[in-house]
Amino acid sequence: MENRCILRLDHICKSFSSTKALVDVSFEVNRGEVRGLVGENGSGKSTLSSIVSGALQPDSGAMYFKGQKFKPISALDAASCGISMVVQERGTILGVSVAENIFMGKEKLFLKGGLVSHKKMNHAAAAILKEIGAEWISPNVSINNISFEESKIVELAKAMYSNPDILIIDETTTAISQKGREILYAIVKKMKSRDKTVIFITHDLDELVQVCDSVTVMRDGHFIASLSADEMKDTDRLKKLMVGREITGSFYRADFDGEIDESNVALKLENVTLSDTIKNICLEAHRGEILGIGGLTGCGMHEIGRAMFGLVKPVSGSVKVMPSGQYIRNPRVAIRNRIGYLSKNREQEAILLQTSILDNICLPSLGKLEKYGFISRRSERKLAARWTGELDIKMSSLSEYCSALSGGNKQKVVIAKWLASESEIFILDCPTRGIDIGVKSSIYRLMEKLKAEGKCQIMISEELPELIGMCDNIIIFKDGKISAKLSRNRDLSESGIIRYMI
Amino acid sequence: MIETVQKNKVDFDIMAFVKQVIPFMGLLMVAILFEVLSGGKLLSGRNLTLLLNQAFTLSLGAIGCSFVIAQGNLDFSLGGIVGIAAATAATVSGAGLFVTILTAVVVGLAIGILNGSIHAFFGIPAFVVTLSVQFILRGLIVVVTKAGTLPIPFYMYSVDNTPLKFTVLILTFLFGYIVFEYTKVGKQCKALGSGIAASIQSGINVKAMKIISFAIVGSLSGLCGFFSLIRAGAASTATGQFFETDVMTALVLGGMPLTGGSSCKIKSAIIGSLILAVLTNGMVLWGINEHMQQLIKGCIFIFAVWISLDKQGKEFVK
Repeated sequence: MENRCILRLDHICKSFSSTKALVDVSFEVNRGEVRGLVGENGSGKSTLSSIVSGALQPDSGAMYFKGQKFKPISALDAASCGISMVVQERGTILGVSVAENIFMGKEKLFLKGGLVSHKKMNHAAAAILKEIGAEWISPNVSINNISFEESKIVELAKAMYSNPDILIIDETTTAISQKGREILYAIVKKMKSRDKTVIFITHDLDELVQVCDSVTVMRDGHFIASLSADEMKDTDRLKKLMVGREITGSFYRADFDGEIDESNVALKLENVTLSDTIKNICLEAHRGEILGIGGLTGCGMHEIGRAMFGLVKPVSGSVKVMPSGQYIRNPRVAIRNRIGYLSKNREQEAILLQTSILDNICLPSLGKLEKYGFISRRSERKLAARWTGELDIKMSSLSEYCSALSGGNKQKVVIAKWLASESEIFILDCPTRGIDIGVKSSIYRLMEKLKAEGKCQIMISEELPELIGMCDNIIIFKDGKISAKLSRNRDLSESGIIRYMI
Repeated sequence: MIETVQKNKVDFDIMAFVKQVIPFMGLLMVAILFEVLSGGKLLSGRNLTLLLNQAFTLSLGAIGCSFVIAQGNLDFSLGGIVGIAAATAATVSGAGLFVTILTAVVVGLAIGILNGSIHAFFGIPAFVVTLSVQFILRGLIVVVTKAGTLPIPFYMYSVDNTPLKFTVLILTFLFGYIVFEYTKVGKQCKALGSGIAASIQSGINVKAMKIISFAIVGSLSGLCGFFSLIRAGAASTATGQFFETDVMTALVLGGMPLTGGSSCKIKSAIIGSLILAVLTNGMVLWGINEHMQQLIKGCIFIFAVWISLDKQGKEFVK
């Protein structure tokens, strides 16, 4: 029988200073296989894929690609050998066109009299985009002018053009909508039909079951198990393997009591207009309520979330904290009125990466910690220790930089920061984006606790299951307007909600 | 989650430790080097006083500048501020010592606030603003001094003494250290240098912080202007020249990252000023001429920035 194995990892180890990211990882991937790679944040998935794609080099261990020893020195090197990767972050180069991104480094193909013919290049790019079903993206527009989702599709187009033997897709679907996902899935299928291999990293287990032929589970840098298509259908077992323990109780809220005290308004939006497309939004969020806001990317819900925190000024209309009636003009006023905001762009906006956990947590509370104008180390330490303890943040010390934390723990630091500043109103923009099941479930439990304490929470999310699972009321946005208001009940379903979104 | 990690930080970061120690080692090395080269003259009693004088104004400027650099900004107007503060103070020096000091500091403060306000309200990059202000001030200095020198009353020479400078230096350092480490201003300056979007979302008044930091460095430069004045006995068009580059070189030599952020430490200002003072002084003792000194300082600046850069870049821990 011919050897189907295309990539074999042999005892790979990798550490970053004191953190062991990968410990003795060995497994094989076959030709024509779509292999899922799952694990909690910090389990080593991204490090592993970075090693396979050449962006990082292992400390020890070896890789065998098509039976040969494989030691890529850079991502470019790996790509030329036939391993391409679509990363989690933006992987396109700003400032140049879509076509130039797709053919980056291959401009020679379009030479005409010593100069690059953009006409030829755009034509070729259009053909590739059409082939993957993304013909609406124009090849000659600047990459700056297309959405994050579209730029991901451009990266896929680029990866497909190089016709790789192995395509690694790192948590790309968290950022893209249904349409983009369909394109992605079609590409995965096409790869499979050509007997090529896909390594697919995801947090979404439903997607995993739908797309992958097999799955490898990682935990704390260790290889835990590889499961076949049949075995992975048992998602409970899969979750258990990922987390290392049973996920007890229900994932979302168990109750279906969406009753709230309508008179106890905490935050009020009156005729808020932000732009030509986001107009006349009226809504109220109450104490003790989890208010969900859902919609497609670009429907205006994230902008409304920013307006609630004073990050964008409404063109007209007002955002008010009740009962005082104070207008939220900027984030400082918002924080003074005990509003906390979890940005969708955690790494850029919500957290200071090259700064300690302690400083991050205390930052909005510095005013409260001041005594005669001074802030003592002890008071800071006390505050930070209390909330890192309460949220069970995995860290080596309070002075550790946040950059060393996994995504889930970074999010916990952001939450700790707003708990420490005694927030009463929480604006949670995609609070569980890119976060593993373990931390996700602890965030849901925390939301329930905050609800019981009478806090007001507004959860903006692109994930319908979590909106249905957690919220008392759900507001659906479509094209900058509110298209539906739904109350918590047993019969809410994704398909029932989607029709208000499109 | 699987196992709660509760261990204290036992394994310490060697690189971080090395970075901490490099400035001290540097100071020690240049001191030993020039002590040997100068045949023991460097650390002789009389020369030590000279060293302190050189390090003194540098330190004041560097302590002030730390607040601007912590935000990831630069101030190229320091030399101009020193010059104009000295010139205006000299003009009013007939009115007494107190008025002279006050004038120097207030002029510095005003220009600092101006720098900060233009940068904050018009969104012009700080180095562009301060560089332009530097040119404007250089012009003004010529106008105020009428392209000559402005002498001060003779009795003020006595203020230029070592015990007073030592006291002022220690007080300024304490002020800088406490504000930098134990107040909202210092903490928020460092936060701004670490990430502006996250700082805004944590409720930091960015404009106010920018203006405050430029105000601090402005008033301390004004004070430097006063001390330069009483040391030289007069203000001239050359007063304060190259002060800004010296201050920034000192800070970088002291280990201050030019990108700002939470790893900024105020002690860099003192150590760096001492290193630069020893270097300058040592080169004079060694007989290197002034132009050559500038050339060497330029090379040292580039080298120091290169050392301070985080060459490891981004880590991909996940």
